[in-house]
Amino acid sequence: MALALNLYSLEVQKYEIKPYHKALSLKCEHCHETSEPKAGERLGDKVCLDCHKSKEFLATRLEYLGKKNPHNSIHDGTNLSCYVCHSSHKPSQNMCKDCHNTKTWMKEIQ
Amino acid sequence: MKKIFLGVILGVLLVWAGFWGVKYTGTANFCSTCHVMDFAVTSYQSDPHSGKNRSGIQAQCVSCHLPHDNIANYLLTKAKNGIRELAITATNTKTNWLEKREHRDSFVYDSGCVSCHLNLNSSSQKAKQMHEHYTSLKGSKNELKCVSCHITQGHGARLVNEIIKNKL
Repeated sequence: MALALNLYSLEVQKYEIKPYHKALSLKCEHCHETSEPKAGERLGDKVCLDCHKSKEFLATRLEYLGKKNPHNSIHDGTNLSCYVCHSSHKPSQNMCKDCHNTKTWMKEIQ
Repeated sequence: MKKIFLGVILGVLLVWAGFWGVKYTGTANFCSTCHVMDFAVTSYQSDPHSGKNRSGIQAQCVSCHLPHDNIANYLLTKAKNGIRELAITATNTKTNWLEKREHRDSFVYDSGCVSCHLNLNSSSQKAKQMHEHYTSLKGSKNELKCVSCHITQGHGARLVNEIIKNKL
């Protein structure tokens, strides 16, 4: 039993989640539908949007960025997959930064 | 006899005035008389809680921003908040609303949410799962509040837009 618990906590440490999800005490099954997800399992946008509503709603939240709104950009509109920029178990990558200097208008994404 | 009669009349008048005062100072119209609250009222007006929903039921500012567990706590918190807001406005103290928003669980009360949202298991499977999670953490050190997850409720998606637009 103790060994199983240790292995479980090792797994949780290995797949560290972001502070804002940690603050809600989220567990594997809240996104993966199982408490023992397969390593490297890829989830769809729907899993994110089950809680985060819709891409249009997220775009509205960032309307103040105007044409620089990453959730409604002049390149991709609201069509980008969440995973292009956001990762749950590793550092996120802001795709805008590939071409633009975003320091003045966008905070670092976690 | 005359004194008792006058006392009763005065008592009734005081209760009526107190009731009216508490009721009036709990409306969005009253809160929006202070310009510092413009951003909150504008964003609230775009949210279903302003009455833009199928039932047409409208939540007032105090429905969410005051505790509804008992009348004494309600009145005490209302008085404390009123004095603090008055002092902030009188001294022209700037509030960092983006920062304050991070601590929303200290000024949005679950007792208000659940006084309308009686059945937490009536919506989607996902909502049911997350509400079970909320219930399982009740009383623990990791206890969640409704607004821990429902971060835009009450002011819709445009709250941050309004804060930034108004340079608050």
